[in-house]
Amino acid sequence: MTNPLAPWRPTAGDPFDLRKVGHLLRRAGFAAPLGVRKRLVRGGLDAALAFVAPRTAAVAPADERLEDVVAFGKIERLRAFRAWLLLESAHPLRERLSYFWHGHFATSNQKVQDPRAMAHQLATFDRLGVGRFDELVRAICRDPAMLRWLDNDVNTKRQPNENFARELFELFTLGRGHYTEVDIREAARAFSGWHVRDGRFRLLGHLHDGGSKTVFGTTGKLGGDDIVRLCVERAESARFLARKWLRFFVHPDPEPGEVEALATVYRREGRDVGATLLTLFRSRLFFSAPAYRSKIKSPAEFVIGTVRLLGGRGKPAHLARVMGSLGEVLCEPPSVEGWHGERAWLSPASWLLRSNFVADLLAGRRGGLSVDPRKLFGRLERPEHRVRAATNMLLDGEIDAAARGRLVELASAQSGSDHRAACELLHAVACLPEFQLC
Amino acid sequence: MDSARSTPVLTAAKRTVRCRGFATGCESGMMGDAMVTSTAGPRRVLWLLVGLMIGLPIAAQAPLGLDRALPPDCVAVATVVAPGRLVADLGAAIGPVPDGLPPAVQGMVSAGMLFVRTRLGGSIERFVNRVAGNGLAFGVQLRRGRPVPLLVLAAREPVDAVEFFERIGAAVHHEPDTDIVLVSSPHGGLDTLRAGWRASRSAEPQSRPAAAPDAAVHGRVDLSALRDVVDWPSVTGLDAAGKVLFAPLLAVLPASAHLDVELDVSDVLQLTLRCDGSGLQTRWRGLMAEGGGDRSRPPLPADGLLQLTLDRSLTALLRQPERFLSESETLDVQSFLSIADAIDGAATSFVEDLMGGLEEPIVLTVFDAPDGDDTARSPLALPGFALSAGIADVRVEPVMRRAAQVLTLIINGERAQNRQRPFMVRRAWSEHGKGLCAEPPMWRGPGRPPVEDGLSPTLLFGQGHVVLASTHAAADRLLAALRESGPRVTRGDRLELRGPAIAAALERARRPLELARMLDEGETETAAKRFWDAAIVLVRAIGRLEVTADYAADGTTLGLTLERAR
Repeated sequence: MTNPLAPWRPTAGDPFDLRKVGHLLRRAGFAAPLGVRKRLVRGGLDAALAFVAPRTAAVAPADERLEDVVAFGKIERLRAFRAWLLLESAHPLRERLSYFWHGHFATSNQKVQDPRAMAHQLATFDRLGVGRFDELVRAICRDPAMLRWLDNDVNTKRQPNENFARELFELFTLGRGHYTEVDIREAARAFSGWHVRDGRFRLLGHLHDGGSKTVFGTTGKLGGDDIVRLCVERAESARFLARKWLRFFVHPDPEPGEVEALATVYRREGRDVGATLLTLFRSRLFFSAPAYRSKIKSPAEFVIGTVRLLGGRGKPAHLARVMGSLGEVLCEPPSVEGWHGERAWLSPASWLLRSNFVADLLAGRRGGLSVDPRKLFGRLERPEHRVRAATNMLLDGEIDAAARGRLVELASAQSGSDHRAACELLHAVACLPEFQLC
Repeated sequence: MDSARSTPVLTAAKRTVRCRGFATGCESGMMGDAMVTSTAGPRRVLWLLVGLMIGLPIAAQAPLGLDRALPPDCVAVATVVAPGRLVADLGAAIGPVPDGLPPAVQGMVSAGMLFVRTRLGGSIERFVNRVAGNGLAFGVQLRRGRPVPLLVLAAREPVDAVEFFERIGAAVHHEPDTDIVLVSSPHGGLDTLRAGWRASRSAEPQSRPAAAPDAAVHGRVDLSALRDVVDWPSVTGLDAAGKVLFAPLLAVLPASAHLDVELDVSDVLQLTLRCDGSGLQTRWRGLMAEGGGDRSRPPLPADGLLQLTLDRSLTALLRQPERFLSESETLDVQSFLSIADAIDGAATSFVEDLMGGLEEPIVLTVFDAPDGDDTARSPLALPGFALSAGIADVRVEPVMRRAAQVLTLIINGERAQNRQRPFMVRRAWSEHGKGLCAEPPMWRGPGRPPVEDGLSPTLLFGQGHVVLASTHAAADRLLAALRESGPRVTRGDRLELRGPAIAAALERARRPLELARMLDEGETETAAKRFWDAAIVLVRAIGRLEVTADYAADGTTLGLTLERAR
């Protein structure tokens, strides 16, 4: 049996082309303009991966601007700031992983009611999201927003609250079926006294149960960090994460063999998330046909991706509001399970909203998108050339003959290369079912 | 209108203008200058001779005679006594371009100035002196609802004026008549001007009323004619806050036949708009506390950012909301009162016992945040806001104290639900006044403190006034200013802004403000920095800006005074 994560090598018949670089940038980032994609095609896979995850990782802009964001005390500002990071970041994988972890460790400000705490949690994802998973989990176990969200700040020695311990096992590290109710009760005791005071994590000794506990067959005076270690060292944890990453980065229905292969890489890389994912992004599995456009774009992928594909600029506050209207209100996931995604993203209403969003952007009616479609098309006059330019720009040139034919019909019926005609053509491409797929 | 502060400025400005008129001898002096400096070719000498023969009598009438060339049905007319002098004075009053503008903006300004100078063949002042050195009149006539601009120039160098308009192109039509140049955008306007100009030379002088013969610019707008073609802003269309703020002023426009405009330029720039209608004759008079009469206000201390005082009575509004507001707004007011009346128990009326104990109107004064370690406070350092009023009945003091304590209790209850520490109420006392202050809890959380850390809501009584402020420092500084220099006399509405202090406050909060531009406007970090660099420099250049509205039985006057920071 071949290893699905064996490195993919370009060949004459299967080169590293616009299609592949577009796929990589959509999955490991939030897409990029055609000019960038063409440059990366010339540079090859290594250059593309260096673009996605530059080694000279500068200080995250979130760290530099964190105080300015929380100064307003408004969750809307934080949402706009996150949209700005997705648009502008020089480290696409970091932002992509922060976005992933925000759905994985789903925390809602509706209960937390503290934009500062939410901002700090997201900054933790920026800082540790690409590093070792156990370090990230340890930080999240001390995160004030998370402790409030899952009621651990009322978990005491006398009245243990199991909510956090249960979600740590079920949603964050192991998945359902790999722990017992006894494990949960004992782990809850280990996290007792892990509270929030004045917006900071505090381990309150008088509320902490320092007695002996038994979790996963290990007995001792276990604390919260011991529980995290026991979780992340279990083989189920590696498979749980591998399955989730494959669903998020590759395709919605990963095979058991693919999961096992990625879990092996994860363990081999010392639970380093970035290194594991870079192996995945180099793999034959990642560039396989079933992976290509196999996922439905989330509102963030659709909104931010469209602006980036068009090489324009948008007003982040407006983009964050649009994402909310499409069903993805950042910092307010629907439940502790996060957003279910895939088919849940699309409905007749959201389809119409997506279409209207693109129309508004192209017409410059809202959102302040400064893109000039005429520039994008240059002096292309022939309908076939204009359709090719539009599909290259938005779909890496991948479109079936029937759809292409309809687009050529539309372009032929248009007069000249004026602004309106260019907008109509781009809007038509953005409304194709293919464009809704990531 | 603020008699204690602004009158000397106004008087000085007018005196300067008058002196200048005499010194230059507006007409003869200017012609004399032209003779001395005109050493050009024979054509120019010929023009000057013609000018001497024909222009002198015209100039003797100028500038008031020029506007008589304009048709009587003009909806707006403006005359400028000495345009060249006006340009020079404007340059002196509001120029030069302030230092510190971002290089990109500075470059744009310089390029623009260079373009204008190239286009005009020299400085703007010199150009204006050549083409309209002896005055100009500008009018707007309405033809089928569309505005037709008309211009009459008393040129010192008519040839230059003609050359200039020929360069502009066919869209602007012009016609010289000795040293007068008639200009109109549609060609038909020239016929009107020509006929008007010829008739004016034989007509009785000053057929059009002169608004202010000593102003650098004066004009008149025919509001009754304008109302036929322009949709007038409706007072009833405003929301409740809009009605309270603007109704007495906006209600003047439909009641006025004309609006006189004057511009005086000396060390300060002063624009005066005077309507013949009076807000005192409308129902909105009921919203005014003093009916345009004199009253006192606290002084704006040197470190104050701005002060706003409107001649309004909240008591009158709350007593009879149905008289001024819509049905839904009235319901909102009644809902508010049902809660407000309960704050100090059933025996106390918010309107009669609390508001009734104050001497309205209320004055808003804004102070910069006190000096301190900027890294130890929120990046968005808020200024201090202080609302003040005189005390009419000393029994209001215990009512307000109790109300303040109950409000703090409610706020602390809400904070506790969000796991926030409470504001601690303590007695506040200083040599200027005494009262209550709610101090914020010490910030122990991660990062720099939140905005609310800079708040210390304070209620102080002293100097015959009560002050409700967002910070103790603001309340105390206002009472200190009252104690040191006493109240000022003012009337009508008045807004005073101090540019340098506002610029300093903006500078202190510029990082969050930059981020706001990036997030709300989609600007790059560089563009957002540039925007605030330019905005702060421009605001700093405004030494003082004062806007006043003076309500009288025979008219309403809106004034704007701009003083450049030096």
